Amino acid sequence: MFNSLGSLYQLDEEGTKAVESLLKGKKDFRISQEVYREIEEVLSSYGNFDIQSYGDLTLKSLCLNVSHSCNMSCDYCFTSHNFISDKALMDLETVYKAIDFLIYASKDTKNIEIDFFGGEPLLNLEIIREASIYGKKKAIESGKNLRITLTTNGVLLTEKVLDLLDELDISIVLSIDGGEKIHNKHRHLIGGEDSFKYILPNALELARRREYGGYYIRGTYTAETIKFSETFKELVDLGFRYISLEPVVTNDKSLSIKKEHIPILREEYRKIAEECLKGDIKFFHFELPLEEGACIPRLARGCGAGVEYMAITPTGEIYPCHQFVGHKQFKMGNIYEGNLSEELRDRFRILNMIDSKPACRDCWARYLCGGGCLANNFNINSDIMEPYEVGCEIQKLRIEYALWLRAKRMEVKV
Amino acid sequence: MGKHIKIIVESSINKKEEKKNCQECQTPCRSACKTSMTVGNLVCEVKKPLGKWTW
Repeated sequence: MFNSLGSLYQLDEEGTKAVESLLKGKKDFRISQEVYREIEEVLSSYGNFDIQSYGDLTLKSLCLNVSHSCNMSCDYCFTSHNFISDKALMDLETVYKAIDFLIYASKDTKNIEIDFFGGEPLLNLEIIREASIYGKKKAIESGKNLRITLTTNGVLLTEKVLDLLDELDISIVLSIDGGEKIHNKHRHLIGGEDSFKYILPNALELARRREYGGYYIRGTYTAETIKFSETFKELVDLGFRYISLEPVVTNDKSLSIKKEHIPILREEYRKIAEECLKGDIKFFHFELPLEEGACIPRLARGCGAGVEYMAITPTGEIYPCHQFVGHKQFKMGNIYEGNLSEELRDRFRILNMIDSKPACRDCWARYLCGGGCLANNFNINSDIMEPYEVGCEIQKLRIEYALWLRAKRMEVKV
Repeated sequence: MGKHIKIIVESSINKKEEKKNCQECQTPCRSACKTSMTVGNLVCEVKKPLGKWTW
């Protein structure tokens, strides 16, 4: 048995019957009171949460869209519609201003983050280098600790580039959809050429250098590749240990994940959990720290978009997150103008509270989920308040199997 | 430890004293185009500082 806060319990036969009777709303007189007393004791160990009063939240993470250009043209890319008239590379002045903004707005928060994103960020490597050096210097001067992440398609991730990213301690998310056939299905270079053969050697070198962490291989699965546990095995067989597979979020009916896929997905996540049990492979969504996890005020709010996290475009525009870039109704300001829409910030502050969304209030997964992706809600439902239902179901499956895996690993240890 | 119900993993958030809000943990971006982190993936930086890498 597990609860929505991530604890796992082992029940004997009587305990199981007692819990089942409580779930039906009625105690079973055939079960001894001692069993019920034990269950009540566990339940009473929970405190009351005061999740409304968590004070003023500061900005602590910036996504820097250093390049709105890309050397690939993937079929399902969410940026292709937004960036078409805005191809540009971020310049040095903008990057300095963005980092100064982060240092200033993060106030007393010590741990801050920047994430290089795009387009393909490695098309603007010199700015990545300068921004990282400048950011680290500014962070040290301000008594802060800056962590840096980069999301790349891997085409330009040569050994020389990796040397630089290693030197700058930049964590890397590299997109590969699976083995050659699956990857090449939707991930093409500009002009249509297959990309796998260019990316794989770079990705393998990354994995070789970072045996103990600092990277994730992330793939996208679609309705066409719904049996993605096979994809997972392909990636493991290629030699990757840190893997994340994500459902495509698109309105393209031939690719989108639908409600009828959920039973298949359940089976696929189960298979991946079983694979993880066999060896030391980290599947991102199954890595729930539980004992070392975040506190209740943090768990009771969402991703922080528009409040703790913002995205900056090459021209200095500020958006609540990278997925809102280009949707002008969500533009929060511009770092050159020094303005930030307090109205939008307040709106996102409320939206980030898990209780603000009626669909989340009674969900068992709420404190391990955080309320889903607001941008996905907007992209699928045209309403940031309305949860993307399929996404919710997938999230619940992931949490369920993460907890299952944890329980199984405990069994193996015993 | 009870006879009929045993805690095999106790989430830190079960504990009454775990109600801090220092804001030092990561930002859990839920976007699938990166790798969709949830609040459940978050490590408390006070209990276990992350080191130089994000994960």
